[in-house]
Amino acid sequence: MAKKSDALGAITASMEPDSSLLAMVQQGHEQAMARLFHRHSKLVYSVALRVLRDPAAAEDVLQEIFMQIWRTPPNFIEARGSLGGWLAVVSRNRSIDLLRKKRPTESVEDVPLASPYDLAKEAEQNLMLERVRILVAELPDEQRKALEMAFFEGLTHSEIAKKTECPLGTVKTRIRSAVQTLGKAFRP
Amino acid sequence: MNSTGHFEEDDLVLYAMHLLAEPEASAVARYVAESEEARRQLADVRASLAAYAEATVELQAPPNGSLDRLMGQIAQEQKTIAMPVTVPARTAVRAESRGLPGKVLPWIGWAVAAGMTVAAGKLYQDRATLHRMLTAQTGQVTQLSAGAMAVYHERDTLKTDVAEQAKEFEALRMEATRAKSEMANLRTTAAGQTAKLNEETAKSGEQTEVAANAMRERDVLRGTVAAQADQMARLTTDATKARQVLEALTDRGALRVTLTEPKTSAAPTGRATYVASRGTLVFLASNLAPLKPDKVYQLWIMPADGSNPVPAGTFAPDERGNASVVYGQFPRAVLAKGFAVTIENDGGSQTPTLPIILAG
Repeated sequence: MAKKSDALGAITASMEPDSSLLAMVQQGHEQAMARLFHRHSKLVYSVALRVLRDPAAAEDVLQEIFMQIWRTPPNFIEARGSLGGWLAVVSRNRSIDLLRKKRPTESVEDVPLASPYDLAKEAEQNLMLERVRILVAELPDEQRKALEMAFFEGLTHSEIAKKTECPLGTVKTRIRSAVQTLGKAFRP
Repeated sequence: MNSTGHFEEDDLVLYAMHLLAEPEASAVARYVAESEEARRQLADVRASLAAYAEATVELQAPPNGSLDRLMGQIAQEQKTIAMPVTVPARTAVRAESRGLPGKVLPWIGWAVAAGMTVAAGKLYQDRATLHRMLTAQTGQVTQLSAGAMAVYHERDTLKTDVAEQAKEFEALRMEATRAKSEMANLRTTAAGQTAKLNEETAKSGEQTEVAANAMRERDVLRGTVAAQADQMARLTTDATKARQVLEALTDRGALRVTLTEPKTSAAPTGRATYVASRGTLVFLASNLAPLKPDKVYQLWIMPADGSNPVPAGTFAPDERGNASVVYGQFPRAVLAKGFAVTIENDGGSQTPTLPIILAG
């Protein structure tokens, strides 16, 4: 009986939307914070690790972001995007700031996303991510490489132009075109 | 920014990725703050980037203990939750009773009871909340106590470390003082040795100069001695020759012959003095006729055994017709029976050329 009750609790917890957990965090519920951590820490940590290539520094970024959520939980509107994706962007931006030894230039509340999908529904989110993967694979090599260097390596368009020996305008166009192509994943 | 002052989507994408430098970044930020359309575009870009990150990154679990560290930090930053203000039910009841006393009075008891129930429920919730806060704060106090104990322990450890380091520092300071003293002594010794060395170097220089002068004087003396030795040798040779001549002239056994021109009784004469055993020959001539430049007179020894005449030297008379030939030691020991003089070509001859000018 006890086992059944635990399993039910786990299922209920896993189905709890991010917005509800954030509201509980607002009320000081530590367990809600732990659930958010279980749900999103891998993504946040992995993005930071991909950018920084340093496990200790990536964990620092992870701790910092979740502590900021604890102190000032963002007013997250699910209809505008997934909390996971949102945290991934915050993690990437923090890591790039760290890489460039800059002070953090934004708080977690300053990164609004947009999505016409109901991304709270896991199935729809998975479908969208699969479409993004396909679009990334279909990107021309030079666009995919430019986006990767800009997003994960934090290279500026000038640095990418120098590294690839391409004109500055070409590099900017490649990055913008790649991002525009990825935007197709949100369109029906 | 393009030529018309509007931002291009390229810049918005770079701004979203924190890749724009100042002042472009600030300019785009102002533009986004002012334009709803720009904010919408920026949100779209970020959504695409978020999906890109989620879709492409390889997921890895955070290090072990990461959640514990987070929860520990969260426990230290407990939130203070504002409690909702409860309005006492009685106040509402009084307000109602002032308006409709007759109708409401019968319900007062029920209302009070309901209000009491609500208030009791609220009080129970408050008590539960307070209990949770108390529990949390107790946990926090326990953690703080543990932290304080750890700090005290660390302080004691640090005190011990500081005391040990002070001892080490004192020992090092004393060692440094000793080292300084030794260095000063060494410097003094080195200065003395340097002065001594300089003095000896100066002396050595003087001695070197003296030695060089001595060597020069020695060389001069050597040259002088060599010159004197040469002079001595020459004088000795001359003295020997002179003595031989003197002995030949004074030797009683010497053959003395006066030579004259055979066909005339004219003046040319020659006198030869010859000691065969010593090989000494002195020939004196006078009144000789002058010769052409390519001609010379030649003296011949006529051997006693009748063999061919032996050349005994060439000579040329002076302007008065006098001449002499002197041999301290004649090369060949020839017994002579006489002497003769002929005129030969310059350089002499091995055989006499007729006519014989003098003979005897």
